[in-house]
Amino acid sequence: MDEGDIERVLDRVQLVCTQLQRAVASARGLPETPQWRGSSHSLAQSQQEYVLAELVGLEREFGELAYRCDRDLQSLRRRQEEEGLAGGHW
Amino acid sequence: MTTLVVTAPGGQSVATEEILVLGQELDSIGALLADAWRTVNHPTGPYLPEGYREAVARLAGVADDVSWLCRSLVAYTQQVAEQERWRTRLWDSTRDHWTRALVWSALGQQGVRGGSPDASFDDAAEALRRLDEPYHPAVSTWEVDRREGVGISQGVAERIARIPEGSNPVRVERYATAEGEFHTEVFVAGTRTWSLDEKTDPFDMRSNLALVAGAPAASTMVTERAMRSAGVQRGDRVVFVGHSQGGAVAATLAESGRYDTRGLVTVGAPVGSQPAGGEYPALRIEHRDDVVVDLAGKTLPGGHTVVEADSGATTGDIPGAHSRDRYFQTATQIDQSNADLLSGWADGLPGPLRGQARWFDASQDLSGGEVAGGKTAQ
Repeated sequence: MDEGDIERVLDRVQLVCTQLQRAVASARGLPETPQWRGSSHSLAQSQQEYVLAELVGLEREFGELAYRCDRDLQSLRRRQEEEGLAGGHW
Repeated sequence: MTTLVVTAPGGQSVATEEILVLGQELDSIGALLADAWRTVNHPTGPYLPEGYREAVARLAGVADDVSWLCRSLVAYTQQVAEQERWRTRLWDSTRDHWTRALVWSALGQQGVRGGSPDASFDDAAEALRRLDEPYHPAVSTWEVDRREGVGISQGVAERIARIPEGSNPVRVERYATAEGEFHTEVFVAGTRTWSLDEKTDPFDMRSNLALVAGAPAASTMVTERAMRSAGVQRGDRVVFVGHSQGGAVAATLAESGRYDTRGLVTVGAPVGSQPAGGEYPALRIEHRDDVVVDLAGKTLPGGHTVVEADSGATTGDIPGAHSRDRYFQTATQIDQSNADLLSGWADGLPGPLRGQARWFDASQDLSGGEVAGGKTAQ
């Protein structure tokens, strides 16, 4: 495994984070339903709340993945630096 | 945005256009999630961070859920439209039976009469015949309040607002015009007493039945006596305004030929079988979810301008759909309308005038004798 393996995953995860941010913004902007009554109101309301909650959860999850990727990338680079120092590669 | 609101006769609106918009928005979100899933759904390399597979699986699950919600919303919208279409069709055929049931229930009769909607005349007449005593009401009317310097109503809504509610069912306004004549506006309230056990109120169910049957109703007698007390004479210019039973009274007097009727406004009144035959402007305002308007049975063509609207009351809120306040709101919309048919309604009526308003209360005696309390009986 080299830096490129991690960077490819990190790029994809960061791209997903961007897409999820847009999805969350769209979900927050879903039309209000002030005149809905009865079952249609509760149906629409519950759907909006469900979608938003799921998207926020996904955004957080992929944010954590991006953090881990970055952390692993930095860790790999430090390890490689340390190995390079130990091996006298200057 | 195209209006796709489907409204049930009971008054409940289902804002399907908003559901459609929501579906479109969710579709966009679904497309974003599908893109995101394609981004991360690739053959895995040697590196995967902790929780990666779980997150991708969850992303796929949410994308599926959103896609399902979109399909469900579209299906729901179509079902609602279809359901409302059927409900409307069913309602049209059953509403008459239902209102008939209300009347017969109020009369203490067994069973519900069927028949076609235009059978209401016969039903009402038969109901009157079946009452425990002959319907020959003697009425008494007396003035309760008087106010000077009252400004004449401007527009429909203001006239609706002046229809009395509660204790004094008739209001008569008299205005002296610049030509030295009098212009009168008469406002008549609706049914006050729904029980047939209470027999002293002329604004009761018996009067309703009499009005529908075309028989002399106590409430009509009361109103005309109040007009006479206020100085109104035969041939005077009069605008009649009434709610519910009061609308039927107003329509009856407007068509009586005894007055120079200059206008008629009825709201929530069972007057479909009383077509306006005169040259005066007649405005009939009906809420589609107001069951009272159908008590007259088959609607006959006539000179009315008919405005139908949804009351905005919730389904099953029968008093709400029939209430004067709801009709006031509808009348406000009429006043704000740019439609010539509506905005020109009061063109022939006098401009700003100040005059006198009088309020009247009344009682009836169904025993065939004089009304108690020394009041003059008719």
